[in-house]
Amino acid sequence: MATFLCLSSYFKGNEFLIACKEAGNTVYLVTSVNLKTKPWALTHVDEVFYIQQKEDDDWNYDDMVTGTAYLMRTHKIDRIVALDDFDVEKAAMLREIFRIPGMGQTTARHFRDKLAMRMKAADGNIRVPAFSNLFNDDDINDFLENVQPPWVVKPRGAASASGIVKCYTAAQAWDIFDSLGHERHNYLIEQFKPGEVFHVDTISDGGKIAFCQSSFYLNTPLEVAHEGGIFRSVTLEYDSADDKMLKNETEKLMDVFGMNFSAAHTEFIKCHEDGEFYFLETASRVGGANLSDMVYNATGINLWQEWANVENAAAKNIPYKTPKRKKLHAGIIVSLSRVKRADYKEFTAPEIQWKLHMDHHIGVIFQSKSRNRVLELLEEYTALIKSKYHASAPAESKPSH
Amino acid sequence: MAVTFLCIASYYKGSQFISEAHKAGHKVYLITSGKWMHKPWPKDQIEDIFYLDADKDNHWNTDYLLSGIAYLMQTTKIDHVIPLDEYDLEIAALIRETFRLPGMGQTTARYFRDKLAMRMRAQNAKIKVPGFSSLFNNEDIAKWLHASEGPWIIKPRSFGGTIGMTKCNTPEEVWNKILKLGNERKDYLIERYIEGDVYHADSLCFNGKVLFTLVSKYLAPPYEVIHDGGIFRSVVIPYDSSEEKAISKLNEKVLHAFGMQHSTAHTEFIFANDGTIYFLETAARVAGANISELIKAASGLDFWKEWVSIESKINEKKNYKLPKTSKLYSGIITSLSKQQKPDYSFMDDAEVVWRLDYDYHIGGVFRAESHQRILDLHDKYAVYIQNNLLSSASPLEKRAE
Repeated sequence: MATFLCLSSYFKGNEFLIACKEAGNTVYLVTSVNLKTKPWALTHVDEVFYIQQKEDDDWNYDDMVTGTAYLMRTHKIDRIVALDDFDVEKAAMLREIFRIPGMGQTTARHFRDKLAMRMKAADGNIRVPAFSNLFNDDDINDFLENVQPPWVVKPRGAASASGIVKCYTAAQAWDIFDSLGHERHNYLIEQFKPGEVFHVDTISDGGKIAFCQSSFYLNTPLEVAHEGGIFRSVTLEYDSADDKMLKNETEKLMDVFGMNFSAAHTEFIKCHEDGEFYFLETASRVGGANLSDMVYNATGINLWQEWANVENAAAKNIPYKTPKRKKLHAGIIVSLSRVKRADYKEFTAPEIQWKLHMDHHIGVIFQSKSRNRVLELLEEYTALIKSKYHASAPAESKPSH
Repeated sequence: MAVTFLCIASYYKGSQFISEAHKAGHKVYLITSGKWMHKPWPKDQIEDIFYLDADKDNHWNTDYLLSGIAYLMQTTKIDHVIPLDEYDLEIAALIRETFRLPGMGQTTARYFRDKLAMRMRAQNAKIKVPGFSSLFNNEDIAKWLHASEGPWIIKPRSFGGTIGMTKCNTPEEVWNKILKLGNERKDYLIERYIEGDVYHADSLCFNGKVLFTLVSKYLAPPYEVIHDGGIFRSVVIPYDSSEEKAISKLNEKVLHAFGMQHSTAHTEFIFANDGTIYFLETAARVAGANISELIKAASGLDFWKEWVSIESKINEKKNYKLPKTSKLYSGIITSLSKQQKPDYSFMDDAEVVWRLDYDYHIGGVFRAESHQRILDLHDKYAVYIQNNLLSSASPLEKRAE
């Protein structure tokens, strides 16, 4: 039996907690005080520790370290797991302080800092859109002179498409930099390349990819966040050229970045201009926005569960085996909804395998052997949602989950 | 090619690096604490000095530090960050990771700063270390104490030198000390106190290869010197002797296991009375206590100058070549002196190549072709200092310097 300390500054990861407990482990959860009332899987958690947040929502690191030290006086910790992207640095810091195996601070940056990941990918000969840090005025001017607009300015360390600003002229770009003030060095600029965005969801075991599923966003995350679009994704045709290419690139990337044991969610863009794949970003976590449910419907693999199983095997030093996967197709559609609680009466297609039950949201997942059928259904139900449910909210200026 | 160095010095230390960098035509910026403002920094060789106020533990506010560097970088490109004191290694790593500068990152820096991390890493690499335990878990400590033989030493994981060490002879003494440490106990470790001769290996590394190593032996271990106010003495050991070969080999194994790329390193080993050589600790810096003078006398290598050269070659992507070295023997002796300006006429042998010029201190470095001659001079000077000049101050007073 091993002991897991799971960090989550957001309400997510119940499936991990359950799978981890069911594998016979002791499971501790550390979360924020204000998430106390969320429906955590308390039946599968041995003890929960709540951390008071600071004004900026972040945890007080001293409290976290002291609390962990106190817990460790009487309880040995074998693995520390970051359930949310925002917890990756915290987990890495705790691991380094308490010398617990797993991803350390240097590697964690490759999965959290968008500047670090671009530099690391470029070093590893993985194609990335032209980018520059915002440290030095001369370097920035070089970039603005030599790289075709439009550009996007984005935070290095936040986990969503919010906080991203698009600009078209050097004057606009400098206005943005000036408004960033002291925070400028925490942002980067890159060329905005129009194209189709793909996501690759993986499970890594001892540095090797044990499971990989590539999918395709029908609307780019930027469109969804900024233009109030509808979130849609569909699995890729198996063994198609794109599918193989993405698998290869993701393998290369995980190797270059030093991934060992974790779930990861990696995004690539296939540029309209040259038809090539460019690496966008990666995170050492399960993809958000219910993508794990989509992956589950296509493959029968629950990413949260398998992540827990990989960690469990690592903690006990036993071999991990991925369960046999299916090769079905699945598509997801999620939108904000004008209706508080949708009754889904009109959502009658037999391919619908999952419905989202969340206030002011509507969403379904379709499952079929045929990818074309999934695409058809996505079109059909997008029209339905657009006409009867869809609502759009302005993009948040602060990143959320 | 001129390189721009950002030197970090939380103590008044490393002026030699600044001078050598300046001589080689490089640019140096320095960040130090306000309280060292009046120290004789080579100000005419520094582009700009930035002073930060340290708190009572001599720590800087890292937010201010990073903001200040971000501001400097807006107009000045920094190529390398150089920690001048051992305490600055973590800060330098943080700066490098934040601004994506080349050099040692946070995970590797821990192996050179955190004595617990270095022991665990060494053990994993099958390098012998004295038995040790972290102070995290009560059960682990109890088991370890039961299986281990005293006396033990409780030491901070990351202070330089031998400050803050406590020797314990019984488990009761150990537990009392742990209780006294309170919340700080996670920052300490316990290990077996092993008797034997302590050796130090001083190396130059480039591209992960150890290019030069000089092995010397302390005639009185540092622990005794600091705690008992003795005389500090070291001597280069016979070249190609079995100890020299064994320690050189072990030293390479340590630096390789710890991921050392380019730097100078100072690594200590103990030749225990049972005939085993154990790794004690390592630091990625030029050795303190004027050992650089001992190295220069024996080999002709100025480690400060070579360090500058190594760092600038990385920047030019050129190969660093070790200058021709000599294989002479040298010895160093230093001590506190009860006289403010001691009379050096007793140290007038032709072999003396360097004399310590510091109030209330006495010291010299001497060199000869014969190892025996160095030992004879050591005895002669030690007896004189013991009889005529010795005074001792408590270690705390010394560190306050």
